Amino acid sequence: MIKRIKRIFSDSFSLLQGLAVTAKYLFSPAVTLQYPTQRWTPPERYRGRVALRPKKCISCQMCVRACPNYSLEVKFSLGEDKKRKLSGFIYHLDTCLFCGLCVEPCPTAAIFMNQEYELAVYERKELVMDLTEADKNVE
Amino acid sequence: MMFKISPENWAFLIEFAWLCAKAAGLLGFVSLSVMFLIWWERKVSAHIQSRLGPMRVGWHGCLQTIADTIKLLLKENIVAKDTDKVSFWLAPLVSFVAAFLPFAAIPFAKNLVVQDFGLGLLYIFAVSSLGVIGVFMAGWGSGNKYSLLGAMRASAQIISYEIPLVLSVLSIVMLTGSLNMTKIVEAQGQVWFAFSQPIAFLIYFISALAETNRAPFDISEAESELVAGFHTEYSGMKFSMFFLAEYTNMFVVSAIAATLFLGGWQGPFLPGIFWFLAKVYFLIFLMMWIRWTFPRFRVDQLMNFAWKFLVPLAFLNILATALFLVLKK
Repeated sequence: MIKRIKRIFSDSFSLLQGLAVTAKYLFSPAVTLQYPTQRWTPPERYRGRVALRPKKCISCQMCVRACPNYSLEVKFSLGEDKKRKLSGFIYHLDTCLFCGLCVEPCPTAAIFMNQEYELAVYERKELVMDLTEADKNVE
Repeated sequence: MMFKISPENWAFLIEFAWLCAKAAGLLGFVSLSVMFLIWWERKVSAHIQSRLGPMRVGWHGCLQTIADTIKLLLKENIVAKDTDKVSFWLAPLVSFVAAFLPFAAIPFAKNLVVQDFGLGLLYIFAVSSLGVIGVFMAGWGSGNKYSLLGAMRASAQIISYEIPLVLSVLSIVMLTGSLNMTKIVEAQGQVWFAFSQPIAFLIYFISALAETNRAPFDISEAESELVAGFHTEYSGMKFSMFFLAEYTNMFVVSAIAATLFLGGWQGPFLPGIFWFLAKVYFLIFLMMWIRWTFPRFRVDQLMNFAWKFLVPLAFLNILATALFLVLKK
């Protein structure tokens, strides 16, 4: 009997402790962001979409081979000096799984993953992009 | 055809019009208060969960409820095929009317009461217990087994908790010797009954939480476990009537608690209505705080708690009060 009464008091006390916890949170600042007006800065090594530094690319196709989903196509032409000249870098965002495996084998660090995270579009064909156009000015 | 209106009839008509005006005023107050409470609850729950809650419509989302009400008003009126039409349509009305009627006897301030009944407390408990009929009508009328099960859970719960609720109030009635709300407030000039009858206050508050189907006693609608309980089949304006009834009920039980235990409109300096509303909204805040802190009871725990703990405790409290009164003589 005494044990039971003790239990009632200790349990009631724990209820008050619970209320104290939520009271603390009630007055602590919110952790969420008001999205379109407040934005989040992704960490440095965040894997957004695949991006290209067109001037550095030597069209070696290492990234195409590394890609598990065949999401990359490199188009090139042979110059007079038998060197490959990049003419198009097609990126299929719809099949990309953001694994970053294409970034690792690149011998010139031409391909990387940027910080973009708002990648939704209205039509599926907009997901296929030519990175020599889209990232024309990326150095 | 011409009517001749005799002086007595004029007096009656004027009185009737005056009563209608009072009712309309109260209805306006209740709807505004409910809108505020819904916004407030969303804000409290958001901040407890480290969120911000509604922020877009108006300053800190204060007009959000108005936008939601307009949305609910414009919604399609959906009635499922197997419903019992009469009870399905009447249920939200019965729920809301039962939640609204007690306002007639609640004193907002000195002399600010629609009708100062001699048996005010009895009237309030008699009328507010009609709400369970609305709940059951909703469950039965929906023609849906889950609604019916939810309604049975809700009615079992409401009827069970009515007993400790009324028993806890009984000790106050024994102390004051009156069922009149105004007299009960005036009896608390020196000490609030919350301090002289703390156990009764606790029992009342816990049972009131269960009466209004609020967490941690909200198994009848248990949003994270069931679909919605008795109002599964309701949408649009009929659903919002249930919502209105729920928040009106919260206001009513808090107003009764403020009147019976926290000294009603009495307080220093400021006008009575301010003190009354401050106490009521504090109690409602307490209910919200509890809702967003504690996990839900199981059905058996809920019933055990009412019958094996609250009812005996309430009886003991009445016994102690009676002994105190006898020894004082």
